[in-house]
Amino acid sequence: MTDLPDNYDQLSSIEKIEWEFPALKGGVGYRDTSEETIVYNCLAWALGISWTRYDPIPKCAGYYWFPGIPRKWDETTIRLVFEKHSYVIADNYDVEPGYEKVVFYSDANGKPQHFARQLQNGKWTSKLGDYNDIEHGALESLTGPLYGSPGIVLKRKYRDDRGNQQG
Amino acid sequence: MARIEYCDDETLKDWHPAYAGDYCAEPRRKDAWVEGSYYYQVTVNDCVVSLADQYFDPLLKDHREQQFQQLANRWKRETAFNGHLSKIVMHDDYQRIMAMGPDVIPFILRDLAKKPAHWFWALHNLVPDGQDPAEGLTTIEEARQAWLKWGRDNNYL
Repeated sequence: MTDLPDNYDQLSSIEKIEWEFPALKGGVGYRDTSEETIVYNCLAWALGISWTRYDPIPKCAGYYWFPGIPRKWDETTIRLVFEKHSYVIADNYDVEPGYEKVVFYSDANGKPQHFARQLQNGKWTSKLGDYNDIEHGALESLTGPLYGSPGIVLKRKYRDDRGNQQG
Repeated sequence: MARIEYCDDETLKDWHPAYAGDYCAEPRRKDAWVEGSYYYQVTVNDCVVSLADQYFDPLLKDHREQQFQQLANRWKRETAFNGHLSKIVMHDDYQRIMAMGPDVIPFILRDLAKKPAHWFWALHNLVPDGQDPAEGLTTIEEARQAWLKWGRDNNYL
């Protein structure tokens, strides 16, 4: 992390988001779609869940993990989570009518750091840590030291059974 | 015995408001001695000051709470964009807070009462006898309320 500005703690969550992800500065190419909250994390949000955090380790009250799936945070294990939710590997980030896609952001070692879910309008929705979730047009706008870069993409048939906004 | 090397009132008051109380009423000339069972020697600016334990304890607690708050603020600032708990609780400052031991439980609970944060792992490991009132709960708010109730029931809050 680069040196934070002296007034960082006084910034709003949106200002902090734009500071950490300069490609979003000035509200370019994104809009915030929730208040800041720690109730759910990016993995849960990618699976359309906003009532708990999906987190395998450490085993801890307040965080949920799936019975029968190893308590690991790596690409293989998290792919397994998505496969249990009917996702299969996809070969591009383009919008496909009738499908929803999820992209893994990973660091240089291939360890997942963030997940974004594609909306039916082709844009992406991301929960940014303990801050807001946002709808962003470009995957690359979140590329950087915090989340690494977008890598594998999975897809499943779109189902509107979660009540989540779809743009 | 507590011994005060000479130090002017204003320096002491500036250093800590606790000095504005009883202890400040004592003579403060070089080699003045005050009855007490223990003393601690600290350096304040250019003054060497010795404090009886009954005066030092509140200062020590205050110092630990300030230290906790500084660590907690930096931990929150540097992990707020992380979505993965192991990265959050393995942060150096979170580990430093846990290393401070059970004395920090009231500080953590007061922080948790103000706003939800990722304190459940620390509480789980700091509370004596392996008690975890939130065990098995799967949402942040449920776990938070369980810990706050535990804190009130056990006089930590």
